[in-house]
Amino acid sequence: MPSLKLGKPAPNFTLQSVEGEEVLLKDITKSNQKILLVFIRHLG
Amino acid sequence: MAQLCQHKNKLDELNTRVIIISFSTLPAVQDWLDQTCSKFTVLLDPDRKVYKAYHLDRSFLRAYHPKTLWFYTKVILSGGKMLDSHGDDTTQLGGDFIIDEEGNFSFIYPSENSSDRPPVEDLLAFLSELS
Repeated sequence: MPSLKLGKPAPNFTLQSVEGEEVLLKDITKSNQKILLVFIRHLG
Repeated sequence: MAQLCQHKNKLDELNTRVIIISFSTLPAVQDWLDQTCSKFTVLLDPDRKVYKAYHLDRSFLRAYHPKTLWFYTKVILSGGKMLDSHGDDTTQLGGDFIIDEEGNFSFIYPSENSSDRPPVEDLLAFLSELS
């Protein structure tokens, strides 16, 4: 697995949203916005 | 999450989109959103493929670190409410990442333990510097 480094590309992914849409990271980065990606642990 | 939610307007000013990723089930996530914040895009990663791709570990010892236990003790002592974990794997750790407009990492913060997250003020300051 490649290491994660500052200044290097974030791994792309496709996931489903809670609304049921397929979301690609690459598509979001095309919007010329910064992204704050928050991975949450369990919900409690 | 509630703190991030309070700063949604500031995040918009900083041209930053917040994406939340959870490995929990859809009904549990919807319940959680109703209780916390529903202003951001939330994606589901039940197989934790993306958690793994972003090197986010599972660890019993780190998840139940004394700092974490003290954090929850303070929550309870201050009258706070513990949310139901919905049977999720409580050893999975989270993390925060900032990705710039070119798709490159500007900030990488894998949580050391369950209560370890970068302060929202620090994230906003960092995003301001990037703008």
